[in-house]
Amino acid sequence: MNFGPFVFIGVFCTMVISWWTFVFGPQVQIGGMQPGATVPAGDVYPVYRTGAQKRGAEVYRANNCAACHTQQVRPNNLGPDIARGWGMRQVASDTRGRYSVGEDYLYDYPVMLGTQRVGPDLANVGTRMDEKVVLYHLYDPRNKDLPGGIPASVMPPYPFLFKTQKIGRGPSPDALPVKVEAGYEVVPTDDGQALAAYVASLRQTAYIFEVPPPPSGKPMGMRSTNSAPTNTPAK
Amino acid sequence: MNATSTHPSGTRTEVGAGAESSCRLPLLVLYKSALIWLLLATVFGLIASLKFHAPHLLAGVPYLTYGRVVAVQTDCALYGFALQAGIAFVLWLFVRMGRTPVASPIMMTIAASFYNFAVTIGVLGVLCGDSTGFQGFEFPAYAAWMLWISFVFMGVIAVLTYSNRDEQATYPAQWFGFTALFWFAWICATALMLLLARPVRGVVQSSVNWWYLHNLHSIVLGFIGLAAIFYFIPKLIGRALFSRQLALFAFWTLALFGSWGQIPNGAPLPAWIPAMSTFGIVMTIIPVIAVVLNLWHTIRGSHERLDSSWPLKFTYVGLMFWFIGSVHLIVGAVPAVSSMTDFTWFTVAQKNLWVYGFFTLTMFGAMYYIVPRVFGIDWPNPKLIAAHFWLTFGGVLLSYIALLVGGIAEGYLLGDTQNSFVAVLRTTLAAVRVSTLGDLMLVVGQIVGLLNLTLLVSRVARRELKLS
Ligand code: HEC
Repeated sequence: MNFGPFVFIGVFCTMVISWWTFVFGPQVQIGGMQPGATVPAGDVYPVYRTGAQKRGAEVYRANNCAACHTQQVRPNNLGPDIARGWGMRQVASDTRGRYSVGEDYLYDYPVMLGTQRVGPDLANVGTRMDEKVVLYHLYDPRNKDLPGGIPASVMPPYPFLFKTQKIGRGPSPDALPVKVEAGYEVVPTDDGQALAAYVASLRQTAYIFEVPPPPSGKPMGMRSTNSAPTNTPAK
Repeated sequence: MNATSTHPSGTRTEVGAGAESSCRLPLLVLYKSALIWLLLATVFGLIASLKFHAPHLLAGVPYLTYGRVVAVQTDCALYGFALQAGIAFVLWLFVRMGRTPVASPIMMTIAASFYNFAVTIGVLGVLCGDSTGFQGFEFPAYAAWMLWISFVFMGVIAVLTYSNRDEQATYPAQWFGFTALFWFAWICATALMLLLARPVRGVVQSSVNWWYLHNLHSIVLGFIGLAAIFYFIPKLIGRALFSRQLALFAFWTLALFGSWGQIPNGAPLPAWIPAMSTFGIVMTIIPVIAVVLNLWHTIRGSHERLDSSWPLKFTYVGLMFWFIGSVHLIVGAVPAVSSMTDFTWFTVAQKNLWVYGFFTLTMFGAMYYIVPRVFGIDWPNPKLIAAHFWLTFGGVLLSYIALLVGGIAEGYLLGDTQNSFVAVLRTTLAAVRVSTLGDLMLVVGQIVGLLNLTLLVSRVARRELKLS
């Protein structure tokens, strides 16, 4: 007897079940998601990225920073992310809450959640570093003379995001505090500047319906990431 | 030795042998290119690994940043090597078991060449920074569509070959092979449509991406590898498969549960999605037990024969890696474990074992069996086969153990916030460095394998010249 058609139909059904669950289901539930409102202020969340930040996201994608960095903070019961200071929505009394939520990525394409953490999670790196420090980090992550430099880091430097140029009438305001030949300075390229703008803009701090503010109104239980040069939020 | 080829009617066997020679041209293109892509993949893997010893290495070359090199490594291995070696094996399987020639060897060869062109364009695209940013699906749209179309072309020819079959009865191996082809066409079409052509919004992209990648690993590669295991182990050991029912049971339960995407617990998706995914992965324990029992009973009492030929050794070790990789995946999906091991080297270890251990070894087993039959010529140098086996096996095992231990240590240490991130990183670097040695062995192994195939092909070429 020829079972061919039955096998085919059976395989087709299993495939449809899987597709229905992981492609169609999510699409129906959250594919049409609209921006939400922050609690309690009621501002629109998320906001669109600026042009420079969008371009920076493209540089991030092209160089696949996601190979070493995730951008997703797991809830307390599913990992130490919040205890390590990567999440900014900690609610001490809430063991389950979800700390990165769909809204955070609403306008991203592609969404680069990442699957490996050779380096720290970057979902809230904008609260730990400003653009300047990010640029130092991209230029030479292991240079301890630069703020944020960590000699033991394995993050590669990205020298092609910078150029060495002759100092014109006066030093450029963007020049990095590094020594090169006399009369020259190191400045970020447009791509480098854009990438820094994107990275420094990464923050998931807004309280929204899915992740409401803690009763006392301020985040609790935060600790520093030890790799961060500072754990005071940058503006 | 060949239970199926000694057909009572005698004539059938000849038809069969003639049929197999119709695979020559397609298999030549597919195997040769697959091995070249695998060598490239391992070389990129080695470069990536070396960057942990010296982060400055090649840092100034934008085309070779760590991220791009890692992406290209995955793509060369999955699309360049795995799918090609897989389709070569499935095509031959359909020809061999159906006793019918390839439906159109010329079209197959042309489609295979286009396929390689697509992979080349894709790899260059990723190196130039044109990656899509979706993990395991990095090829830019222009290359990805071309890849899909040429794959579907090859798939259609394989399916036509299958339906032309002279031998009506079908075996589990054919079911696994057939399903894998069909499955890839479907998941790749879904990813093309929903990630590139008309992208879905926000994190739905991630769900589709994870679903795609998991299905590519566990169903497409998993089923092709299992097809080889179910075909070669009983055949080369000279015993019938213990139970056809059990094989079919494994087939159906794997198709059902093995395809439930590998969504990390705690991903920013509605909670039921990672929960369903974890449930599916844990349920695959049932087919894993079924497969192991089935083959255990098939082999039992004939263990000494496992050593009798290289194809058998490759396939058998592939089976062991399949088992370890499956169990690893199941354990790593349980929330209590995943909260520690997700995002560490632990998951990388599993993927590497699956692709370079299980899949690569079973496909080499198949290749070492198929190529001499199809071309009617022996492997020029059996020592090279042995070297290929030991280097690949040793390299994969070394990397796996290093990354497994490193990953567990990493997850464990990160759980204690007293340990700074950089301190943990330094600890795990020891493991990464050991795995570099494994990566190096893999590169050398693939050079040896490619050399052996090249020697064989040049002998065939010389023979053909003499004949004409
Ligand atoms: C080889 C893996 C690797 C790659 C690729 C990589 N990084 Fe890193 N990154 C690290 C490691 C390890 C650290 C932690 C040590 C340190 O601060 O240098 C880090 C730290 C960082 C930090 C500081 C985070 C903090 O909380 O202190 C930022 C910002 C960063 N990386 C951005 C990037 C960007 C942007 C890219 C892509 C251009 C990138 N990284 C690519 C490994 C990597």
